[in-house]
Amino acid sequence: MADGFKFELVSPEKLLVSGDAEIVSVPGSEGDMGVMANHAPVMTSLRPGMVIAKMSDGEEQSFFVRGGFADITPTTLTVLAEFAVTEANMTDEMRAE
Amino acid sequence: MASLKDLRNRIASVKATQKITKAMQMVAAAKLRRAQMAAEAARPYSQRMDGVMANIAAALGGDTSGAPKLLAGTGSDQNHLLVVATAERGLCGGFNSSIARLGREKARELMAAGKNVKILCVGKKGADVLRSEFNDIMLPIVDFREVKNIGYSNAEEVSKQVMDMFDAGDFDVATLFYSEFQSVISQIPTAQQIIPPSIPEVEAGADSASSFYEYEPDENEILADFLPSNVTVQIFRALLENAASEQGARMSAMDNATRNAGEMIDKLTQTFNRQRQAQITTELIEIIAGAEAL
Repeated sequence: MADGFKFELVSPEKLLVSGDAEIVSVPGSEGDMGVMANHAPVMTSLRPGMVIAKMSDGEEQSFFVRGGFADITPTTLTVLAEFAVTEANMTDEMRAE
Repeated sequence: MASLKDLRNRIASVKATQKITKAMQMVAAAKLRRAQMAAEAARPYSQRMDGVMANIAAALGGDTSGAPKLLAGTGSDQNHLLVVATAERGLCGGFNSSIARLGREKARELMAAGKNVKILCVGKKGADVLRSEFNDIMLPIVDFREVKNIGYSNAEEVSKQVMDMFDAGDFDVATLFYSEFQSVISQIPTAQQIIPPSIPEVEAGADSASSFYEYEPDENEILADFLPSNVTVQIFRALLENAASEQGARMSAMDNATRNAGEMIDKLTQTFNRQRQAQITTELIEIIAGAEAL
């Protein structure tokens, strides 16, 4: 099993996730990135898309994000989204994006 | 001396006022809880933002010559913008006036030093106070009267206006005035410089590896995106703190008002009883005197 790392997804309105994840897919502006532990430090802006996280307890969570940044260090991933909702709360308009 | 009827009317009217202030206090208490929760929910975001900001500042290593103006400043401090954020409604004690006072002092100080000052008021109450003195340097106020719960989009509205002015070169330094929420009885009027941002202190050796960041697409584009949204986040945080402070201030102001009304009712009731007693005594004396005369 892969090592976990600390994954946080925050929007200005609230903290959506904070926990250990195994792999998180982030919609970077230059293309999707799969982030695992020990990733090189990267700072990227985001395009509208899905953040899909496989948490250490095996649970999979996905979120729609629009705008913002991802701050990646070897031990952490912080997604600062200007707008974020869980997949369940998505509207059709968001799906189109 | 007021007649019995007058006294009865006054007691009734004070009681009605007390009911209103009591209701306002309870409404403020409920809203305060919500505002406080919103402020707390927003805290992680601005903390992370500060962290990223610190990383960027560390990566630049104090060499701000090549950095965008929004980070390093324009190199001059001749033109100032004061963003004064207050409430839309009154009846909240010294809340609005203390923020406005802080803004006014700063404006006077800057003007005395020969700087150009512009004032952007968010919220009507602050504008009402400042208008008498600074009418000619005030920008149109930003009105959140219709807004029930401050959202990120409201902050974006304000920050967009600020950014447009900055890009047009209308000012060099922007300072934000708001009230920081400490507790129900204590809100601290605060001035915070947002452009150029005061760089949060980097925790000693947080992780020095972070200065070897890779940037995607590239550093400048990230900064061009990140810095304006940092301004928005600062404004958003200030607005939320303000909302919580406003309700806190209103709650304690209305609590005082209710208590004062209670004291007033007690005093009036006492006067009323005494007068009624005096009247009865007078009537009795008259009857007895009349009976004796027969």
